[in-house]
This record gives sequence, structure tokens and C-alpha cells, in this order.
Amino acid sequence: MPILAASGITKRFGGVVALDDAGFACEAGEIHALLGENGAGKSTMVKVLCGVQPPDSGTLTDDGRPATFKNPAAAAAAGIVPVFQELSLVPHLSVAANLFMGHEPQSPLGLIAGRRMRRQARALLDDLGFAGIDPAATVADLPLAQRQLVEIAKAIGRRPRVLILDEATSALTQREVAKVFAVVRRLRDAGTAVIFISHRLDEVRALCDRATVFRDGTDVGTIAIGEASHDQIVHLMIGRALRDVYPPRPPRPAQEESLLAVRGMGWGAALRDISFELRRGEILGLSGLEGQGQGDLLFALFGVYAGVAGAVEVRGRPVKLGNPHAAMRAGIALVPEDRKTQALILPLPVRDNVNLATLPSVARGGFVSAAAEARRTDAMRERLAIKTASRETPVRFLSGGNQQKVAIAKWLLADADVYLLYDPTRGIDVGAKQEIYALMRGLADAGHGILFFSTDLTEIVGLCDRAMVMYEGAVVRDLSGPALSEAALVSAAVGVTETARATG
Amino acid sequence: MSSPVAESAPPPPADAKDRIVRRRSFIVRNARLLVAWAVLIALLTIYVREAPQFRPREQRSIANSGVTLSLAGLGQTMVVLTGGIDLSVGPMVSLTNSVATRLANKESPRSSMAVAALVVLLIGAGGGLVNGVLVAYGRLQPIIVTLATASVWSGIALYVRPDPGGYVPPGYSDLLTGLVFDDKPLTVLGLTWDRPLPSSVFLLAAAVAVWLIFRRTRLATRIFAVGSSEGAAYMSGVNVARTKVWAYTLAGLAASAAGLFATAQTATGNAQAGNVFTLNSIAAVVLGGASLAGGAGSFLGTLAGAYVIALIPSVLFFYEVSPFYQRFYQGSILLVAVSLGALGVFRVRNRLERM
Repeated sequence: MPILAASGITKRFGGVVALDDAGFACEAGEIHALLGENGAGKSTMVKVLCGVQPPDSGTLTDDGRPATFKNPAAAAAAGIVPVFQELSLVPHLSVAANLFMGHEPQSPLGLIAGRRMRRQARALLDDLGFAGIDPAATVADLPLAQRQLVEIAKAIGRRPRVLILDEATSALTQREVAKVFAVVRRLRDAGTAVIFISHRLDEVRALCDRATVFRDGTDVGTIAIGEASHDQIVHLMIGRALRDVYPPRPPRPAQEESLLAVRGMGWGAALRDISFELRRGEILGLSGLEGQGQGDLLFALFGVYAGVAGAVEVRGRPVKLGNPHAAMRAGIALVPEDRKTQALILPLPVRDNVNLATLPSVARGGFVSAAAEARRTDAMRERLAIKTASRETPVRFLSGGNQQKVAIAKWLLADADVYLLYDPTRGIDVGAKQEIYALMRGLADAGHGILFFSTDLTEIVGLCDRAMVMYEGAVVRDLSGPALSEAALVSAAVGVTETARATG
Repeated sequence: MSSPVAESAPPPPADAKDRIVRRRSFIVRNARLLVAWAVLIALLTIYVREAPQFRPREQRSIANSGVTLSLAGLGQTMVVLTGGIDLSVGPMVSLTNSVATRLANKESPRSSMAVAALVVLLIGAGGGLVNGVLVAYGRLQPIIVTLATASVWSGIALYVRPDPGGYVPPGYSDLLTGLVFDDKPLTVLGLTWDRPLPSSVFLLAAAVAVWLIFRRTRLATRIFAVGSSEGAAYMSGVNVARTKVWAYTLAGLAASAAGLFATAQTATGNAQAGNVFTLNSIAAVVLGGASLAGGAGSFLGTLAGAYVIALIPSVLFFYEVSPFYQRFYQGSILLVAVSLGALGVFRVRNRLERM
């Protein structure tokens, strides 16, 4: 008997049907993947399973008994605990307080036993192999990857019967992913059911026992992972064969015009003496272990950081990047990492978000022309295939991939020379990824330059003309042509670690 | 057991260095609170130097000057921690002052005042409960809800006490605002304490003790969590609505305690005397280093903020500033103090974090 099952689930958001008569069942002691394209309904299914979204119709059964979960607390009480891509940690509180929120160890007087709580937090983190996290540290101070690990530890600390990992590994490095996988396998062997969602198909293949594939809001099949080929899985997911994921790289003439030249850029300990050139028509990748300054480099180039040393030239002219507005004027655009807080204004409609960075060009004498905005929005919807009920739909109702397209559309309208992309495909599905790759190559071919940070090595290798590997704030390798391979990227990142340890 | 894909993937780096983020130092974590205390100590130093004398009587008046605001600020802190704001704090002080002076009588000063105090605290908690329910379950903006209830409390206060006056038992005033040990030295284990101390110091100590204990309750963690990230709190199984109701209820309770002290201090009733505590309590909370966005703050900071605000008029008086300009200087000093607390912002080199 399945430990948790859903059948006939339908869920609408406004005019968008997220789930249409969808079903799913998982057994105790298995790792069960949910696969599907962006907007196929996986995340909505998870939200129904763990009480975040009540379904419009359909039934859930928990150990064979019908169940309804009014809210996440009710689902958690029944042992169904999710870890979401959107972090559910409270930033101002300590790691320990977050791990034990709602079931803090108490002293006989009913007060929280702080020292005992921190000790238990330490034990939990050590047990999971997340030793590098201080239980007393404030969550807001942790880098994204560590926050994600805390999130996972928090869920496991609740001793779930059903653990749901929804893109919970998307911000992690391969090494951290390996730690999480070890923990998940241990839970599975102890009889926990694990529902696993990831857009990294090789992660799914490495970890999961079975998978249920979703397409267009309904389940289209459940397969044993070991028996299905990569192509079969992808075919089920998108309803067609996935051939060339990455657009072909055109051959480059030796000397293109330099669009962006950076010399001796430094920012505290985070960026150290960085010099490079980005040429017209080039996609330049940023790689390396997570948190080595790749994101800081993009923020520094967009004028977000104060006190940055060094010189920057755009198309041969020296520019001063005092703030994002100055960077925009200089011809630089940044699509930031955090779609929800930095890239988009979630309650505003698609139209406003698309036009926000370039309002002056749709305004006359301070008044915004609704017609011009609508025209530009429709053009972008078509060009990027943004799936939205209308251009007036608030972007928070869009799926992750479509939100990312809106964030990109906003900067396409600015027609910048240089595009800085911060992990633009994180947490979005294969189909939408492919569209974004094609779009990036199209931009490069049209004469723009792209500086592209990705945590996914295959993307760097598949898409970029050249890639820089960063370590502790410095560029340590520059790889291009046949030298640009996944193995080379990894060994550059790790090799540097070895020499740094030997000398430092 | 592992699939071929896993084996072909590049092996993870053996043991790359973990970047361990430690808890920040006490000073960094409490910078804004410490600034509030530094400003307070500076003002106190000026006061002690400039005052013609600093005897128990002066000590008492200084200690008493900030108690009402501190208690009102304790309530405001609770609400601000959830990310809300309570504009009804001042009128609640007025209302409770009006009711207390109406219930107390000369015939049985002790028992009537005890009853009055109990009724007043119930009114405070009840009023806060109304605010909380409207905010949490009515899904209304705190600023609008409390603006409206502020007006309602004021109206009731005027109905209860149309004209200033009323009776406050002198014994009650002495108990809360007088001096202790001035005629009866305290002897414990052969040690004698004979220096008179303002009794309000003990009240403040009790308030601090209550805060420190409260800080270790689950409710406090939930209040901080809701203010820091409501969504994350909800996803962690926190009952967000109930947490907010508690915060507003405690705020009303603290405001009524403030009203009880104001009653002892002024020894009279006035349906409008407390209204000034609305904005001053917000100023005290902000001076004390709390974030109006919620999730960060402490009564220990609010306490310093309250006394900074209470001391400013006395210090200005010593410098013979005309009462006409008092408000100007009061505002300017507030701005400087708040800016000092916000100085850290200029060291934030990621401009995104300034917002």
C-alpha cells in the first residue's frame, strides 16, 4: 500500500490550470522522483501533498486512509515534511532556532533551553555531515548553499515519514549534493519515503528508484529509473525527443571588438586582482566551486558594491560604476540570482515588470504610454515564449521558468552591450533552459557580450565560448576551445585548492 | 546500487575547505542597542554634571521620568517585532488612566485601587486583543487598525473622564514613584543598605526580568520569526495569526501598565495626557535599534531609547533653551541618535543590503 497517494487532483490559479486530474503514489522506503517540464505541475502537486495549497478537487490518502491537510503544520504533524527551493528559514534567527522551530527543547519551566538546543543542532548537523555550519550563526549571514543545507537538516530533524525535496539541491555544489544524497539514501534504507524533484536529470538517475513524469498538469507515466534510458525519460517529459540541447557555437574570427575590459578589479577579500576582456559575440562562462566570488564579480560590474578597486571599460570607454543606474547607462545589464527579490516585483503584472528598467522609452513627458508598454510586452511574450494568462497577470502566478523569462525580457528591452547572467537556469526545466540557451546564443550572434555564471558545469561546457575558473576571489584558469571540458573545470577548481593548501 | 551516470560524473572534490560562518561578535550583533546606551550614558553624564545637585530626589525624578514611556515602549517593541505598528498605545495609556482615576475612591483607597489596577490591566489586554484579531484574522493593515482603535480608545476615555481630575490614593503614588530605604534601612545577612533608591528602579528591573524570561519562550521565537519572514514562519508550522494576536495583546497589556504608572506619577486623571506616548514609543523603539520591518529589536534597547527621550527636556533646560525651541532640539537630537544607530549602513558595501 502506498504511504502517500494522490488521485484526480485538479488545481487552478486564476485562468491557469496547474493540475488537471493528476495522480501520484509513493511507497515507504523508496526515492521517488517527480519529473516534468517547467509548469508541468510537479511543484503544485508537492504543495498539495504538504498542505500549502488545497486542491480544487481530488483526494489524498495517507497509509490508505483519506487525508486532508489544512496547512503545512497539519501535514508535518502527519510526518509529511517538504524542503522547498524557496527557502523557509527565518533570516534573523540562529541556525539552531530555525532547526527546532516549533519543537524547541524546553526547560522544566517551559522556557527554551538554548544551550541544549544548540547542542542538539550540532549533533544533527554533524550526523548529516554538514559539519561546516555553526548552530549559533544567524541564518541571514550564511551563503545560499549552507542555508539550503540547514533547510534540509531542519526537515530531517522532524523525522519525516515522507520527505519531499523540491529543487532542494539546486544551490549546492556537487560535493554538497553528494552529502545530501548519502543522507537521503540512509533515510530511504530506514523506511522513509522520499519525493525528489530536480531539474538535473543526472541527479535523478543517480539517486532515485522510480519516477513519475508530469506533462501539462497531469501524470503521464511512472517508470523504474534503472530501466529507462535518458532519451526515454526526456521524451516522456517533453513529448518529443531532445536533440541538441546547446545551440551550435559559430567559429569566431580571431579579433572581435572588446566590449568589456576589466583591469585589476578588487573588492575586499571577495575579489582579488581580476582582469579580463569580454569580446563582441562572446559567451564567457564563470565557473569554479560555489562561493568563490563569481557572484560578487557580477554585482561589482553592475555597481552594486561600494569601494571596488580597478578600472572598467565598456567599448573602449572608461566607465565609473557607482550604482546600477550608472551601469545601465554604460550598457551593462544584470539578470540577478534571486528572481523573487532582486529580479522581479512579484505582485506587479508581467507588463510592468517587463518595462520597469526602460520606462523612459515608453514615457512621454513623465506619462507612461500604456499602448507602447503593451506592444513591447507582447513582443517579448512572443520572442521568449513567455507562458502567462495575460500581460496583466502578476508575475508571482508564473512558473519559475516563465518568471526568469520575464526577468530576461526586462533587460533585453534595455538593449545592453554586456549581459551579466547570474545562474539564469537555476531551478527551471529542460525545455525552458534550452530556450534560454538559444536566446543567449542569439544575443551573442547579434553582437552582444555575455558573462555567464552557472553552477551547472555541463552548461558552461555546452554553451560558452570561453570560461574562467575562480577560486577565493581570483581568476585562476581561462579555458577555451577543446580545453574547455567538465573534467578541466573540475580539476582547475580542485587543483587550485590543492596548491593553495600546499602554499598557504 | 549506484547508477552508471553517477560513476561517470566527476568525483566531488575530496575535502575542499569549508567556509564556516560563525555567529557574529556580541558587539556587531548588538551595535544599534549599544549606540542607544552610549547616547543615554552621554546624556546622563551631562545631566549629572550640569544639575545643581544630584540627590535621591533628583535620582527619583530621573528614574520616574522614563517609566511610562519604557512600559509603553515594551508594548510597542512586541508589535514592531512582528513587523507591525501600534498607534493605539498612547490612547490606551489615556484610557487606563481615566478608568483608574474613576474607580479609585477615598473611602477604601487600598481595595478600590487594587480593583482599579486589575480592571485596567484587563482593559489593556482586551484592547490589544481587539487590535490583534483585526490585524491577524481581519487581514487589515496594522497602521489603519490601530489608528482607528486609537480613536475609539480616546473616545471612551473622554466619556469616562470628560474633565481632568479624579482621585489617586497617595499611598499608591508613593509606592510606585517614591523612594525606598529612605527611612528604613535594609539589613540582609548583617549587611545594611541605607541609601534611598527610587522605587521605579525596581519596576524597571522587573520589566527587564520579564523581558529576559519572555525572550526565552517559544512565543518570543515565533514573534521574531513572524517579523523576520512571515512566509518562512508559516512554512515552519508557526501559527502566524495567533502569534500576532499574542503580540498585540501583550502590547495592550504593557500600555495599560504604562497607564497605571502614569496615574501614580501624575496623581490625576486626564483623557488625553497619554496620547503623546504613541509616537514617543515608536521613537524609543527605533532609537533602541529595532527594525520597523520586524524581526530585530529588544526591550533593552527600547529602555535606553525611552530614557534618551525622557532626558532631553531636562538637559535642554540646563542649557537654558527656550521652551519654544524645545521641540526643535528634541527632534534634532532624535535624528542624530537614530543616524548614529544607522551609521553601520555606510560600512555596508553591498548597496542591496542597505535597503
